[in-house]
Amino acid sequence: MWAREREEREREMALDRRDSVSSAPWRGNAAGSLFFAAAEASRKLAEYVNSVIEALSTQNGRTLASLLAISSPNSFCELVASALELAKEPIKILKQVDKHAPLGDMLSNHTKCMHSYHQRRYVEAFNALEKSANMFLQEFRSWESAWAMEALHTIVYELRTLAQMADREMVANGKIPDKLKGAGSFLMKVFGALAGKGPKRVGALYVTCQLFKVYFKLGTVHLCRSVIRSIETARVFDFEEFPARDRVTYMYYTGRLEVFNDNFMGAEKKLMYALRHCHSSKRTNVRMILKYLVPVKLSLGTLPKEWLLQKYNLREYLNVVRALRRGDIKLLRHALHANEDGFLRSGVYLVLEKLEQQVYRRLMKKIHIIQKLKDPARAHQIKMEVIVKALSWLDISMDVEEVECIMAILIHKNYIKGYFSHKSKVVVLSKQDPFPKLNGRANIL
Amino acid sequence: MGHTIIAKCFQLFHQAIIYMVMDLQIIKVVIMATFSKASTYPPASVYSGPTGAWNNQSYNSYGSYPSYGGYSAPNSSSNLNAVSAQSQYQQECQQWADYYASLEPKVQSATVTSSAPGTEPDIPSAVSLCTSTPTYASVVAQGTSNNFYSAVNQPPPPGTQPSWQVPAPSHFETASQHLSSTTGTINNGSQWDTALMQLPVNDSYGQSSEHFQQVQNNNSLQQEQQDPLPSSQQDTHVTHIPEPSPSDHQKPLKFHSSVQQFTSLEASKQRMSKLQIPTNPRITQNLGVVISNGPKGALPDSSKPQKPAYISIRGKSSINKVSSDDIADATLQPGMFPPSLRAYVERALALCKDDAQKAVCQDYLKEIITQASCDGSLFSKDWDIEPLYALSSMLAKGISKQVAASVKLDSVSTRRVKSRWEPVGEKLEDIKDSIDADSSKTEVLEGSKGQEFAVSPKKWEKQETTWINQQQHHITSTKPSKRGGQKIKKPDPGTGGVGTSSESDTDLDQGGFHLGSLLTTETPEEKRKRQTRTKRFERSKEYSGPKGSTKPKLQGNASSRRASAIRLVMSVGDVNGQAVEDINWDSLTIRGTCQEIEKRYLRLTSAPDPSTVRPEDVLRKALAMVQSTPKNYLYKCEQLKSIRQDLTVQRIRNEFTVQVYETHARMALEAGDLAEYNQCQAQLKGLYSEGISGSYNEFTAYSLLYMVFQNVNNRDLLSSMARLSHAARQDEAVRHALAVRSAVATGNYTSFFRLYRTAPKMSSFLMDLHVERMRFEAVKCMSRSYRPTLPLSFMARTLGFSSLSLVNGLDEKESDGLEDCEEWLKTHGAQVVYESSTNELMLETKMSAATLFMPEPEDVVPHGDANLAVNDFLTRS
Repeated sequence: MWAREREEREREMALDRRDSVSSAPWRGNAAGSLFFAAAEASRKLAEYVNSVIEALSTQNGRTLASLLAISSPNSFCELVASALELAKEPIKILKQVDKHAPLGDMLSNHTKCMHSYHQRRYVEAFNALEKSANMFLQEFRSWESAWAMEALHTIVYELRTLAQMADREMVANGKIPDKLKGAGSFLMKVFGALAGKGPKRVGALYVTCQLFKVYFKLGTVHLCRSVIRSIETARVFDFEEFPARDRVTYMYYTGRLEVFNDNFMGAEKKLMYALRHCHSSKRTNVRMILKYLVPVKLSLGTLPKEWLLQKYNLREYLNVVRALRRGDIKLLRHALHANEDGFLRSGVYLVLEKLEQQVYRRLMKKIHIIQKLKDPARAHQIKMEVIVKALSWLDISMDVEEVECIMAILIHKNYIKGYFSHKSKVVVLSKQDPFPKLNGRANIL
Repeated sequence: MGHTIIAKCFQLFHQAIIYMVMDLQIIKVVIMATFSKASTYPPASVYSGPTGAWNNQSYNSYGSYPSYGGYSAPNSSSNLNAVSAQSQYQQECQQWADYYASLEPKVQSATVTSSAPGTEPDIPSAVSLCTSTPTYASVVAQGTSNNFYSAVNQPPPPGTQPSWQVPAPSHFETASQHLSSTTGTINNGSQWDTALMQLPVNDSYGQSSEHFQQVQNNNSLQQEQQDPLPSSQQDTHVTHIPEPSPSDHQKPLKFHSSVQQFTSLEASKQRMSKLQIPTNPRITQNLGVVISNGPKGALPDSSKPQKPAYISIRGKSSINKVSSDDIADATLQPGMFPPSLRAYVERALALCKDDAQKAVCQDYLKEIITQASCDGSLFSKDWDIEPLYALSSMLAKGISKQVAASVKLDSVSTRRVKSRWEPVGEKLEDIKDSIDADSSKTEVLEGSKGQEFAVSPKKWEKQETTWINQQQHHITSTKPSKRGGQKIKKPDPGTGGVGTSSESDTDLDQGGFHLGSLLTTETPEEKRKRQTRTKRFERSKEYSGPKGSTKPKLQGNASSRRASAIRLVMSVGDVNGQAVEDINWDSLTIRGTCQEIEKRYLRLTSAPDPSTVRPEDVLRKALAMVQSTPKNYLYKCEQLKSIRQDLTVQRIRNEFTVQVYETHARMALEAGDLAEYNQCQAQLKGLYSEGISGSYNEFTAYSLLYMVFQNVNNRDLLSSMARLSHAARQDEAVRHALAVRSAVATGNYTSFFRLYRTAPKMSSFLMDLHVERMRFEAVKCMSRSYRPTLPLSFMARTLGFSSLSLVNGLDEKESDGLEDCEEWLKTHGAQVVYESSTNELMLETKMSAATLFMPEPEDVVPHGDANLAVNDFLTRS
């Protein structure tokens, strides 16, 4: 019953918004219309303020969130911005909130932010929003229940995105960007307000994910650790109780962190979790997850089907996978070189680089198979010269010592079972399982 | 300390506004006085020896001031002196430093001739020196069409205080006398204000003409100094009487508001020479300030009333003016509030019926103007249509300020010309404004003058600080009396506010206003004297200063520099971060004068002393010396550090800087001093990013290697790899570094030690860092994968022990490698056996695999940094 009424009101407000957009052209045509516009703007602003008051008093978090949204396509930003420009005494109208809740200052800052945002002055907008957000957080702390979680999340999101825009603006103006950093420290405050026991903890993971985004952007990923610890060690709250969207994001980022730490097993686990829980319709998200999952899986010895790479437009991995299948060192090097910049930027270069040893292993396996066909009795002895010759067919020129070194490493790292005889220059493969499965191996050595 | 300064500045600003209001009144007084007292009016012009016309005019009243009789004769000669000197000054006036320097001795010479009876020699000197004032003013006027600039450039205001202490008493005495005489007329009108208001209306013609004459006298005086023709004076007088006089009663106010305006009118007739006028009053104002505020308590009460030598009081009002300029709109026309505002104030005051009302009205006006200048609407507001009725009705009831405050309109700031440090924060605005104005002053001075004025800015900084203090003093002393304007009605001629201190301050103020306004328009002598005092003050300052006049021009005064730096920082620090970037650090940067090539490194604990800092050319020699010296690294490192320090304190960042850091980085690498290397590398990164050229690729390679070997996290390594340009990747050193990274990543010891052997430049020194670990990994790998044994010769070759042998191709060397290898293997727990069949040492791999260990580093020291072990250090280098 209530909900329907509220919906209707929202629809009304949405209509209003459209009104204001369409009415924009005629404003300022004449003094009379200007006056009219001012009155109209005041009315709209008052209406906006009233709906905020309404949302506060009815504790309607969703409505409040939509009222406070700035960058979303149907936010009130434009309405408020134009009303602020035209209305005669916007402050007076905004101060009305004070009577109902101590959020008057917050709202005046928030509308100021909307105004600045509308005029694309992002640094100003960010500064205003930061003030607004601080005030809101103060209020939020005092509320027992978590009804305003959605609104808080909206503010957190807006603050982060706005900080990025503000930073871009600052860079364009030749200043040192520091807004995203500021947003990061504010998010940390929000996290502190949520991470404790109680009903508000549900919202903590969302803030964590936003923090990850900030830290990854800033390149200060080491700061993630404390947040992760707080999320993963807390026993009062089961991870599965967090919303799915936050869980997926969280696992994606922690998986990436594991990639940086060369912990491929952990990375695989987290990224697989993310992939499994990610909604299949969110193709870009799936692609983002796969972008890291594929190299991790490769290094663990699992090769993806080509159609998967095609489907999610991960062509950069196609040749890498082919090289792995064929044992073609040259192709791998070529693939790495061709996409070097992209791999370096996404951070998987070092992972892919280590695939070279797998390619050598594949090559050895192939030689072994061929020898087996020829002479099963002596198949486990692979002469150095054979390997060198095979490599030279692949246009890789290496002298015996280098190949020897690579073989030693392969044996050392357990890619190949066997030993190397320096005296006779022969790799002697183990008779049982000379090429052990890679699963669970890559991260040990 | 900072707080108090800010607070004081705030007061100052307020004060300025108040005085602006009062200023308007003074103008009236001036007009009235000049008008009514023309005959008895004894201007300070007595001093002006060369200007015959002046003397003629005022000598009739001269007799009543006996002490001055003695003055006139010697003065004339001294003035002549000064005048002749002055022509020289005019040419060199553009350079303040030189100007002052040259001025001083001459002044002294002049002083000798004119030591007056009964007074300190200071006074005559002041007199003679004052002749230069007009020139100064004219220079300013000519040099800059912008009046603000001239105001800023006025050197004397800040520093004069001490110097005039002695002469002050007599002047004040006379001033008070003057006051009594002038106020006598004022008292005639029962309603002072109304009288004022009416007077212009009634007699606007005569009055204004009279006044013009005064100004004109002033003009002609100045003119004469360039071309002394007494007769011409009369002409100018004549020409000025028909000056278009104000038709409405607003004029008197306006008139004073801009002597410039007035003179600009004249200038159209009289051409260049008149240009001097605009600045003159301002100078006297500034000087006057000091006089009226000084430590009067110390002034001896001289019993003899003397002729008013000069009028300080004018300065009183002027200080307000000046400061308000500085504060409210440093770049606008100096001291001038919009005429419409003046008219508005006048209208408001006209409505007042008695003193009480006036007081309230003034308060109210003060608030309005403060408000307006705060929010920037001072110049945008249309004062002509600003409602008066509200305040008039309020005044009638005598409503308190609070009510008045509510009437204020908070108009949106539209335009506000300010210093560029203008704070964004609104709350502290007014406070900062004053500071800002100050700092901007310094800024302008330093910025605009450039090198040749190297000395004067320094003086300025000092003066400015003292000036602030002074102003503070002024504020505090006059604050209680700021509404003294009403008392003007009944000044007590007896007290005169001369020698007595605080209680008579108010009277003094008022008296000051009268006299000042009466007289400032007159004599250039006045200014001359004031300037002398300033001069003297400056001189004493110089003597007392820590490194004053004894040091060469280039040497900065460290303490003053720091003081100004602190002030700058203070003025901007708490506003917002961006403003700090605007500080002109260039003006604070020192230039070294030390010529020693060698210098010990000492970590600075205070501001650098220029005498111990070497300029760049000496540093270049020092670098060359370091590069060629046969001494050990310890010595080189210290020398390089001191070079780096000198570069830093002088903020030299160019190719040479890069060269120094590169040299030090290489030497540090050679000596294995990683800490120093790291510092240099960090500095080089910044220098390169500023676009300063150097061995960029070489050091990129080093930093890559360093990152690889220091096990920085993958992300950092990746990002620095991603940042490499394609050009950089083609570079030999960078390619080598990348190959090394790859070898380390895959554990490929063969290629690592091959790369070790072929390392370009200093890369091998960095690779040394990793050799030990790489060898260990390699042996571990070998012992796991090779069976049953591995010849040591192969290992020595593969693990880089025998690099020398490859170069020389000598058996001896090769065996050396073998021995090293064997020893290394043994210390790491490997099992080495002798194979008799091949006469070779072999590694027993299976056994070794279990026993290999990494020994504790031998050169470990308790504090963890082997580089700090002095003995080791000395032997190494």
